[in-house]
Amino acid sequence: MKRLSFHYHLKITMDAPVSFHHFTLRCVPSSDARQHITELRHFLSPVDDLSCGRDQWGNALLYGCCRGLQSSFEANVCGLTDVGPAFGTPTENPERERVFSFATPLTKADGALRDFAESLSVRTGAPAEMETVMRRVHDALSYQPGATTVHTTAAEAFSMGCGVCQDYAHIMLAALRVHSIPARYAAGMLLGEGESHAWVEVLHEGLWTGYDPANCLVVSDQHIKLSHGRDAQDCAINRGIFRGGAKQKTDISVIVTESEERRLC
Amino acid sequence: MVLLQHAFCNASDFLTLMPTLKINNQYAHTSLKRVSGIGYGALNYGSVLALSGNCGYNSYTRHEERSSDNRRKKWFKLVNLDKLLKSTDDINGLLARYGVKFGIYKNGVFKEQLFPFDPIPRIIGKDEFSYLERGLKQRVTALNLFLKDVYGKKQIISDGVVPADFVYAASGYLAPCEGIVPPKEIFSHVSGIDLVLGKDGVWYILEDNLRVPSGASYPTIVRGLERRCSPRTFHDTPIEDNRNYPLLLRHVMDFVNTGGISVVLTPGRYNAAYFEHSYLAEQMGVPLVTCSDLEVEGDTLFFTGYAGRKERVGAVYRRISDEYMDPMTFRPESLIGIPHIFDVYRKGNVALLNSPGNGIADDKGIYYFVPKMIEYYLREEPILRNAPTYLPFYEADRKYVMEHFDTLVIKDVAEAGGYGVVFGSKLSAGEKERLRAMIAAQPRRFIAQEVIDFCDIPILDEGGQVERKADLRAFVLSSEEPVVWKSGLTRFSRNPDSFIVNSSQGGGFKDTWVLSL
Repeated sequence: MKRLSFHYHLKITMDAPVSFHHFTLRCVPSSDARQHITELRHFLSPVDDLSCGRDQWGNALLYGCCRGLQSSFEANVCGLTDVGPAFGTPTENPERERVFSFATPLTKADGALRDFAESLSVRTGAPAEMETVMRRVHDALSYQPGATTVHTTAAEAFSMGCGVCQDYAHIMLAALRVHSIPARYAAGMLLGEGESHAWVEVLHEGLWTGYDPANCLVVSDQHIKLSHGRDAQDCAINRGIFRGGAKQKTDISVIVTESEERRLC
Repeated sequence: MVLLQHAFCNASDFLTLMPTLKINNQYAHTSLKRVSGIGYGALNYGSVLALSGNCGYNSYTRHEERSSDNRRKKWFKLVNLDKLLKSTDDINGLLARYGVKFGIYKNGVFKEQLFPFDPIPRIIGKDEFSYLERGLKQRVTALNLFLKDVYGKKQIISDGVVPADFVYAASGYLAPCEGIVPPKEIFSHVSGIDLVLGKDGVWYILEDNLRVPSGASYPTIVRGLERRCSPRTFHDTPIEDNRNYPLLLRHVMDFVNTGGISVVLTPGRYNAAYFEHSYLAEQMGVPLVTCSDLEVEGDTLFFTGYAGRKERVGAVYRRISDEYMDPMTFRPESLIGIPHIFDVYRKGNVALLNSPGNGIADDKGIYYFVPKMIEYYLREEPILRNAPTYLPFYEADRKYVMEHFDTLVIKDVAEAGGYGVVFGSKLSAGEKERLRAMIAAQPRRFIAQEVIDFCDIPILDEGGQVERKADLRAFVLSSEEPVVWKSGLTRFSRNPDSFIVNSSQGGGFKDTWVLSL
């Protein structure tokens, strides 16, 4: 178990002023069996209305609007969390999680990906099986930032043989869903400094366990989850719309450090 | 004139009395001869009436045979269509002036066209309608329970009644609606159930429309015009008034309203059913708004009128489809949506009619399971029948479909509006093979149905009268209880060879008269 201090920073810069900027952010972690959030603060600017809510999968949402002219938008979320008292998070109703065993447009397997999936021995989604699958996915791709976009499907990334954490996760999801194993996309933060991260959670015997194919790592005490869903689209960290003809640039920085003290960012 | 009246008498007496179909036919013929024997322009309409009765009443007769009180209400007042038929052009002219139009997209081009009205009504007897009423209420009750279950506890899936594939892999399943219970637990506030009357005298459900079914405004407005053209007909004939539709709808809105005003939300004047949006808003006495008139502030939805007054909105009868409603949750490229309206809805601060996500219950694949839902949720026998349907998903059905390809109609469950429907018999050998291969590869994507030989009904065509295929869209409005509107939209195909009566594919409409005696 680790105590982690995290700081998520998002900055959108527009090259011309815009108005009526509506946003929905999924960058607030929630407590569950594996991670216990002990302190949480968020700061958004500029904002006229701000609401909190939860989406259909229980992910925390921050949403609202800034009506006046603005040419940048900033969101900061920081806090402390205890991670890793448990490996998995239990589900009350495994039957209900079957939605995660069906492919979505982003995680639909094509011929090649299907062949790959069928070459894996997957029966129950048990940890030993999943570690092999994770390794196979990890070995099938080379990590290459910029090669793919957020819209790249699992099949496309698989045929290119490269991608980023999102693509590793999508390919693993697609492969597991070929075998009708309930598996979901998880977005979050990883110990260290960088951008946001993504991995996979697999349901086995009522317990969701995380596997990080990009790092070939079983999720234990280095990952802080922000959201989960069927694919990256369900976990979009930032979704927005505004009036105005500006080009936008998004900068995300994530800092997660091990912390002994109860000090916030 | 006396003779004419007499002829009418005979015709309609028959229509209501008729112990058997055979006699009915004979008599209809007799009266026809008499009328045409006079050979005098206007009187020819009499023959129209006789024939219209002949088909339109078939099922009524069947039903009457079953019901005990059939002899009690033997003598109907005459249904005198004379004036109405002569006023066809006037009514269509007025409808055009009111903007009663229907827009269709053909090959990617939007074309607005008049929705032609045919004056020969479809007449449904009281007993027959009350039978339909019971069946429709039962069906809509079960569909509402299904929606609540499928976005909630999912017991019907756990109990193996509906396979998970037909829910989660269906295009109508909207994941963002998971866990949402709409105000008063009503999902389908306005349900448009399409039925056809088979030649065997049995009504079959063709499909359920639980998203934003349109069409109720057409019989409503046309009834007013009919009454103006031929007041006597409505004085002499016991016809249920259908002009209460806007009131019924208003009641549903008030019932689910979470506080604030009710509005009709239209995508705008270029929408196919814009006439209906404006007409219903006007008749209900609520503002007709476009997306830019509504705005979310915090967790509340507001309407700002042209005078700048801001009012809270508690119910939105939205005539815009789910995926365009909120760019923050659904299609991000939608410019006509209202950002965050779905978040307000999820928090229970506004009612949306119909609720988002209903597409899962009127999916072509789910249709097969509706009778099973009725048994599952209500523990009742389904009153109304589905057309015999096969799911290639099940192996036995797939085998049957492959063997009886030529007698079946194959539907692609992903398509709507009469598209993606093919008759096995009309395909060339090559097309057949291709479709068979597709069914074998993606069995979940298709359903197959027996072709129902449905009753033709008469329409006026260039002064004469011809028989065409028609269906009936019945409307069920759900508030405290489901209420069946005592009328419906009868659509017919102009094309004599077409079985597809969807308005998106051309065709016209008729008023539907439900008798009150």
